[in-house]
Amino acid sequence: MSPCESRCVLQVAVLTTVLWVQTEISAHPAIEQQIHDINRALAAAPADTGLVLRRAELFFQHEQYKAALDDLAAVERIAPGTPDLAYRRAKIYREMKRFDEARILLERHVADHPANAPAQRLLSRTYRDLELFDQAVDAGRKAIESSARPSPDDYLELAAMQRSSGAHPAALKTIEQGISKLGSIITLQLAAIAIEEQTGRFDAALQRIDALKSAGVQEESRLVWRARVLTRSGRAQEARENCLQAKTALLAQAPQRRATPANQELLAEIDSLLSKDTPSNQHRVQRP
Amino acid sequence: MSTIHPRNAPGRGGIFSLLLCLALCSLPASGQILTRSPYLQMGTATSQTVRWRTDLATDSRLQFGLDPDHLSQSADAAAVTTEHSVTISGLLPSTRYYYSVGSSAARLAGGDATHYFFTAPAVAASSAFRVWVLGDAGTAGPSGVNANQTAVRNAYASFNGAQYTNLILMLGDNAYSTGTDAEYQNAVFNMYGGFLRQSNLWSTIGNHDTAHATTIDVDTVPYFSIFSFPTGGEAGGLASGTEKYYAFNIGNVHFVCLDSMTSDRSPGGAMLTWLNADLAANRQKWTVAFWHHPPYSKGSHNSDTESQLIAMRENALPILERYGVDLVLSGHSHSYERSYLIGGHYGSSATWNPATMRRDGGSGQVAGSGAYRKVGNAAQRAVYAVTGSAGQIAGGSLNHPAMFVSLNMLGSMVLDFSGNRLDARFIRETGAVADSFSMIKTDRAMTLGSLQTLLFD
Repeated sequence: MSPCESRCVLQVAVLTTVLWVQTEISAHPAIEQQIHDINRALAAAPADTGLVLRRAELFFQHEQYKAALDDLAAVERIAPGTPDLAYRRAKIYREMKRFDEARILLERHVADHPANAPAQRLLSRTYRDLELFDQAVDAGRKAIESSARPSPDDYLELAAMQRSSGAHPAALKTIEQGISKLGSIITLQLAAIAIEEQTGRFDAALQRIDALKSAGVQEESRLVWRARVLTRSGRAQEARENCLQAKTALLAQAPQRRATPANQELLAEIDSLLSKDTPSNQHRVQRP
Repeated sequence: MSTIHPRNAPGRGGIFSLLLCLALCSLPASGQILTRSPYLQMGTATSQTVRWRTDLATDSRLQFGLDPDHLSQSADAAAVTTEHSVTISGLLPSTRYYYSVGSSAARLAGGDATHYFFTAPAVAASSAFRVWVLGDAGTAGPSGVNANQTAVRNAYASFNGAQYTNLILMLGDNAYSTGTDAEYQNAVFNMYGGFLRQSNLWSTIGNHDTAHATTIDVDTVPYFSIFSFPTGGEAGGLASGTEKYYAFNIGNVHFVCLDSMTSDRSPGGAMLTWLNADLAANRQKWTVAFWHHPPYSKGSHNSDTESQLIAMRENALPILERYGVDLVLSGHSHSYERSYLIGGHYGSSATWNPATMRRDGGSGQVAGSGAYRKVGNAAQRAVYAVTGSAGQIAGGSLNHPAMFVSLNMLGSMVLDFSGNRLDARFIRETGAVADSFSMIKTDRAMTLGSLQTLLFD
């Protein structure tokens, strides 16, 4: 394509999108204003692919996916070697739920950029949406490994995928890696406790709950978590003791704090657990 | 306000040349210069992080003490870097420390009467302290100059006078238009430099701080490398494992920063799971939560129609109110909107029912209908303020029924905590106080007589 043709293509694209913008955009004034500013700048410099790319990103954020794809297509016509076009397109296809197309583009992108954490994460989610769980887990692991700043959500997301495919030990290992990297934070520990419980490793779950004592969590909540696990593992007497400890601690709080809905709900759960622990159950547990 | 210029800043004219000559003459022998003045992060009752940036990479040295002419202690970081960060601990609460920054070879700034900080009051202490709240302030980002942002800053400076500002809360959109490092330099460090070397800055992330990106590409945005926020519960509260949402304690106030932009806002997501556990463990008298997207607004954004605003209202508010949150701050709409004392309103504005949701229909003003009263951590009794006009105003219908007042005015908010009492003011860019309210906490329901004693004696 000649420079003149390229300019014509971009000018048509600019005009079309300006008209579209005026009729379609209203939900986000800040994005609308930025698109408006870019349109004005493009009128003076229609071959500025940087501006078109920026506008494509804004269209994407504004959920105007076709306009975003059109802008990317225009950039590709002008400058075929522009980096990350495949990645940008893939993000849009994912939002349009065109997962197969997104997958192809993302696989191509991560083959060239294996350490691109956001792209790996996006590919992982795309595999998940395509129900390709092994590939999803693999890409999710690579996303975490290549992320400069992994968050609890990253580990939880990967572990959830592993759990959904029945790989509980692997999910637990992922959570452990998160704890090792980020510290003993409540969100990861609760996920680990849930996995331990689900797999019948009640003592391991209890050990994790005990470890939370030094993490600053509310002691009454911690005792109730303990009681839940003990109840499910059939250790009714210990569960009862934990419930009673939690109830005593709650009732010892200042009246206004005890009266918060959260603590009232906790109290109700304690009473519920205690009521399940019938006298006959207690007798059975205490019997040698 | 001090402004940092690059060593080789372009410029012509005799005055500039003279200034440049003077500046160069004052350079330390190493030739290294500050490209970002010292700013304070993660201050607690016993610790303080100081950050600064230089043109040349060196090690880092923070000297500090009780006398600016005799900084008797120092802390070093051996790593050679241009992004310097030194944390000191073992400090005394509510104490003024003077400091200087530099390297093992040279001092670059400080060691004078203007470089100091007060450590926070001890946790649970009832000491008074002041908070300056800036929402959507960063309009000087693109060019380095913005009359609105400057006027709001100057109005606060005049209002505040010589009083110490203990902390600055930024509610996101701190640097327009995409949160680049250069925009941060303009809109935050150059604009507020004089404050930032004395007061701790805390922030939540806004849509312009990530260039509107939501979940995928946000790890590398400058916001996260510019700021240091607690991930391991270093400043109080429960460890979150991320700088996107975190908690900290100052005196008897528990501050909770949430991320309405990039984190999972669903009830079972990591952020709200953490929030639930953090609030359950909280024993502070006051709880203040802040994030960018307002749960209630009819300003330049509409909380009835926009997803982030709806999600935070529907999912975060029930948790916060269950634990008795007192004040929720947000920005995003470029206006000032402040609610009555309300609770239990988690639907659209059409579902607002003053009979069941408005706990106090007064102004909250001591001189008017009286301060809002709250017994301890009573649930569903909070004030919600949108204060997103520290850099621009953008109108809107401004008619959310939960609001006591809605103003299309530039300004910032000031919070004064003292024991059982909170006084909040909205300071216009003109210096006028356009709104105020007070909240008083009691351990039990008060009689009218005891309340009058508390208010007027």
